[in-house]
Amino acid sequence: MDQIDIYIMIKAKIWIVSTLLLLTFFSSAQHPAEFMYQRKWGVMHHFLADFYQAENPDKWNRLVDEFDVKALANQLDSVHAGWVIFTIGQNSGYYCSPNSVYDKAMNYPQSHCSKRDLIADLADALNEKGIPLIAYIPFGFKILMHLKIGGMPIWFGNIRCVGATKLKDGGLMVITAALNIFR
Amino acid sequence: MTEAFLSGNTTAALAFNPGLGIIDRTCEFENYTAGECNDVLNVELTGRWKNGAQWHCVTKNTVLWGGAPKTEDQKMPLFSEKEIVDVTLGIVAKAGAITWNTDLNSQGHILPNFQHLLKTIDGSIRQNENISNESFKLKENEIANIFLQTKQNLVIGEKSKIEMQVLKKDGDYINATGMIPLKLSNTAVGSLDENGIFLAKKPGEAEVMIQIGKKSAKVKIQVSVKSLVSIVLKSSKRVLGINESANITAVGLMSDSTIADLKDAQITYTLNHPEKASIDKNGSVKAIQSGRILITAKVELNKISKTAILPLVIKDHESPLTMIARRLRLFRYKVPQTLHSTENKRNQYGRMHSNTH
Repeated sequence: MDQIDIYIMIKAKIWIVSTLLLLTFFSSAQHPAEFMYQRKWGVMHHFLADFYQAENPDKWNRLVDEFDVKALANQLDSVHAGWVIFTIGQNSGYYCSPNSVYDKAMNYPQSHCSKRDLIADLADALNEKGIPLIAYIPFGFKILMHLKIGGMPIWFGNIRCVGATKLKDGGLMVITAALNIFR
Repeated sequence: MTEAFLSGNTTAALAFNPGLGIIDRTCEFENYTAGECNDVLNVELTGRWKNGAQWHCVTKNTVLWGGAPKTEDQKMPLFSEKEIVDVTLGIVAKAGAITWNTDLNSQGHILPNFQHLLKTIDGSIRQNENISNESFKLKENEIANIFLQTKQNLVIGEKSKIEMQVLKKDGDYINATGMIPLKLSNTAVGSLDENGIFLAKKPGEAEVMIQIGKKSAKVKIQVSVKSLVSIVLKSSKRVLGINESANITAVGLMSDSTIADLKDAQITYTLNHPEKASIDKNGSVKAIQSGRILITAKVELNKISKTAILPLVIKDHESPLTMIARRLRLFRYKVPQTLHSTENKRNQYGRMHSNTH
């Protein structure tokens, strides 16, 4: 894999929108992004290990544990935010959701994924307020370096914000497809 | 990959982010544009859809996208409150969507200054919504008339936006352009996108229609091949002395009101008095005798030919006064106004009033 591929991978970011709550508002025949048109504006948060000087598994876990999802949901509800985009992780290799497949692939002495499933907790808290959650995950440089470029699966399963059920075990396909799209 | 992402929730929306500054749909599986953007004051959107995806951008009001600022510059907001409100309302008014990146503290709380900003955005949106809803809630029973307006004569490849105005019974107009889906009678002649932009594809006629309840309106669009519609002649000199030369050039106008490229055109010059002057194939005329001459040029471009006539005066001598006046350009030769005929202008834009049932 050459430099261009790496660059492309860095740029390849994937956004997933949860419309769990929207099912109650809009019929399935509607455009999946109808909620954006209806709700007009939203808020994004970058909650990242490197932004909070927590690039250490213990620090990261403490930070994630202290995150007050209910307070945030209340704040967002009070300003009638139409949706929330929230980072699962970005470039540092630290994620705010547990993932055994990722742990196995990376084989760190201590997982870089938080023990708490912050994404799921946030989805639940926002669900109570009727605010859709968009989960955000880029394929960052550090991740690729850790993976030694390709071949290792990234698993997006157990992200409850994109659905109540697990995603298919298609981690390797995810990376390959991303490369194909952004080439 | 899309299938994998949607396997947990098949109705979820999905976007792939091609990086900063690109607000576009990168593949067919995207439902909205990721729209990562630093320069939100200068974003352009024409309507709700961007190549079939909901137009959306995500931006920020700080130099960083989060985290603790390290320099004074990084602490400064990028935009004023008014700019943020204006940008948000501007995007929303065109049926786009916007996400504002907002910092959190380590407990996941939105910082007070950002919370205030979000409240301001919310307030402006709600105020604006009340006005909009008031207008659109009227719908069928409040609509007096609907008007569609567009450029009605197009050439192949040309685009034209269908403007829609709704006249309320209280006399107010609502600009509903791009807000309500339009119908096209003849999809062979052209196509109509989600933002109400017509693209001319083949010669012919098509009607764009709208119906809201019992009110309807339509506008006809004529599509033709781009062709030469007229030419005029210009001369480097208006008055020639004996043995003097002048260069004649032809300028053409195309059916889409652009200047014709006559590089490949066949141009033939003739004059009515060969004894008074001569003209070569390049339009160089040389005076021989005094008098008036008429130069005729026939221009043929893509099998369509047009002619134009230009009068010239040849004098064996000029009086001093005439010479001074000519030098001072007191007399000007006026090009006949054949390029933009009234009829042509009238046909370019048309308005079709609605049919009220």
